Amino acid sequence: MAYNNKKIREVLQDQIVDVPQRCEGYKEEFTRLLVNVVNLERAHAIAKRSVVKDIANEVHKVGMFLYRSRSASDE
Amino acid sequence: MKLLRERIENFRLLKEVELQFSTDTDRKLSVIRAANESGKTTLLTALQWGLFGDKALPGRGKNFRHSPLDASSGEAKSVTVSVEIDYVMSDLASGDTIYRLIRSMTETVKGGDWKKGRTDVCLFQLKLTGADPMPNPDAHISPYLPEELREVFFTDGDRALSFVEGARDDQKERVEGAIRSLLGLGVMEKAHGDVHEVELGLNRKIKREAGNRNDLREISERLVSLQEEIPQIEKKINSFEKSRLRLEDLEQEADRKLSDALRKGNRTELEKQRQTAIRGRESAEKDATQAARDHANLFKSEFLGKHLLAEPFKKAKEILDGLHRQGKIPSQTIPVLEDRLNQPTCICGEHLDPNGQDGQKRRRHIQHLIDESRNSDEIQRKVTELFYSAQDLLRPVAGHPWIDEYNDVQARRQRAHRRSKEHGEAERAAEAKIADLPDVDIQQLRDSRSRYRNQHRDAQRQEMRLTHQLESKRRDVKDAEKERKKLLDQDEQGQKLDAELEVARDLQDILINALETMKTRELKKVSDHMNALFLEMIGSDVSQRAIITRAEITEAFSIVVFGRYDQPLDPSQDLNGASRRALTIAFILALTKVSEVEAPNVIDTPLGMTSGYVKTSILKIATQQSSQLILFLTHDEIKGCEEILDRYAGRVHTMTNPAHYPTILVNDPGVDDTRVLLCACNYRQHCEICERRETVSLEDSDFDTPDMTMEA
Repeated sequence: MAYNNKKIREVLQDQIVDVPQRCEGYKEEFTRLLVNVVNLERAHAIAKRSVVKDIANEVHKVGMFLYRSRSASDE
Repeated sequence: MKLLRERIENFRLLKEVELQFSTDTDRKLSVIRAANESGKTTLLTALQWGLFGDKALPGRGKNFRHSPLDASSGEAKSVTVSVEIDYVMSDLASGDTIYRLIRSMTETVKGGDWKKGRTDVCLFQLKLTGADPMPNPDAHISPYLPEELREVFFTDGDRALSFVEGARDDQKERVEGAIRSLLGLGVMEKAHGDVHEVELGLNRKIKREAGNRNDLREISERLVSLQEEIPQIEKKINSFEKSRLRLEDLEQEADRKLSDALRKGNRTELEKQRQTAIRGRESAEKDATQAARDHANLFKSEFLGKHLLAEPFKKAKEILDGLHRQGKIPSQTIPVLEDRLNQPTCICGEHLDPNGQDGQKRRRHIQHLIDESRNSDEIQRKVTELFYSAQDLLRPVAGHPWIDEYNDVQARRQRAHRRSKEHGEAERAAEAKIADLPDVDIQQLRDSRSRYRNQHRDAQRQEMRLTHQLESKRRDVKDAEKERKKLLDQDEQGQKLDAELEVARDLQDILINALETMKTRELKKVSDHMNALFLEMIGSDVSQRAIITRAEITEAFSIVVFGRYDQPLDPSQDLNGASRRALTIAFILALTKVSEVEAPNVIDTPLGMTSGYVKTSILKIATQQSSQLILFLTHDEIKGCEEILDRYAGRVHTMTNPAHYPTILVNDPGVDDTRVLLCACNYRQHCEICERRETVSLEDSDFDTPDMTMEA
């Protein structure tokens, strides 16, 4: 397959170690987000519609996860 | 993705053709053997049309007739054209999934006219239980085989050359397009841009919801402004970077042209050389003329006579000296006798009285002696004259002065001729170089180089200035973000937004770093792999005296080749056809290998212009490096490669054009219409359909032997 997911994942995987662990489980959530973003881009390359809204929703989900985790740890 | 089968109906010459492709990992090569005009290019076009649709056709399908030309008749008639492709997708999680893609269309033909109907495309997933239709077939194919990669995976030997031939900008654009698509750079850049938009959207939201918090509104406004500004600066930097690289290339090209021109010669300098050569030639010709004159004079000289007549002269001298010693030379008899007649007595003492009988008798005798002497006088005079005048001539010649002079003048003549010839050659060489010189003169080339150098430096300066500006803006963003964070942390809603912003920022950082890695590390991998494959294909041993020492892909996406002493070579000018072909195939293979994209490489006539080692080497390496390789080969391309095909070919088909009977084909295929026939013969076999004549028969020639007799 073209623009091989494996190759892109491999390169992204190398970078993910540098992402700060902002809360417990953040890196895992963030990795999922990253994969989703790349998949959304690939899917939307064919569908020809704006992907920004979809990515914003994904970012929102992880943002809320981060907020809740921080709030929980503060309590 | 691997191709399993292709069935074609009514696509030009291919009226009914079904091919199977090898998916055996040990024998991953499929060969379609076909002579020229036997449907190879049509097959490649049909395969691409099946997978990509009309945009894969020449001229994007405009004015492209799909149906066979002989399908036309006087009556309007509908012809259905279809291409059916089975392919398999492999995934570690779900295993192999087989799909069938069918693209079809109807053309209405009448005489020479045709009208296209609607194209239909449908996709099925083939299962043991049957075929499940799949929605949106083009969308399904596109991620695996995007249109922009079509020419990487489906190409012909000549078209692939455009990666290293033609206008440099076009070459770079094509190379860059292929690399970006295959490595997924475009996807990553798009993701980065979109995440930036998300961040910007969050900032606008903060600004909107700031209410009466002026400090938060102001900082948000500032951030929005900075974040809108930053992509503009990045865009400008990219533009200047491209300009800089392009100008760097232009400067190098101008420098190379200047070096070439200087190597060929400076027009003014060459004219000076020509004038010097003319003067030298004229002087040598003058010397040669003088030497020729001296040579001629030498043959008129006394030396030559004395030398050649030395023996007779010696004898003559002996005779003349003998006569002189005998007193016969000089002759004194007549004056002495005449004087005696005036005297009263003779030499002997007797009287010479003319009145006496005895005296008269004696006087008559003396007169008689005088008369006799007078008779031989002429000879005597000449001998005497000869004796005195030839003294110098008859003196023996000391040494061999004539032959020395002869050798000397001969050497002078030869030297003069040699000089004349050398100067003449120098003059002609200078003239030829002047004639060869491009119209632009050296000064003009220097001016061009200088102009590009200045523009290059200017672009570099602008790029640096903007990079500095960008760094400063990014620092401003970081400071503003810190400040905003403090303000957002003051309430719950702010904390939520801040958490989202942090996530968006992390995404941005990851994508930027990943892109940078791909552009540097992955591009270098492609470059290194291409270099290794290319050198192996052409059998270049760098440790020996190889003419080509390495090839690389620059950061500006140019494919460049270097010779000995790291001298850059222009692939389109300095490489032979076989090396150019090897380089493009090495590039395609390296790109697909590094990207780890699993797709078939389909190449029409990849071995044209190649022979011997390079030919077999390209075939072997291409097979080893591909996940699936489908080659369309002519009989000539196959020659010499049979052993490699024995080892790697999993499927072989032969396509034959019946129109080649009786000129090329041996047997009548028994087909009346225009269509390509398929048989299962491999590259060593032939059958009644495909048996062909390999050479033109001279015996059957219609030409008569020309009459070589000539009338006296």
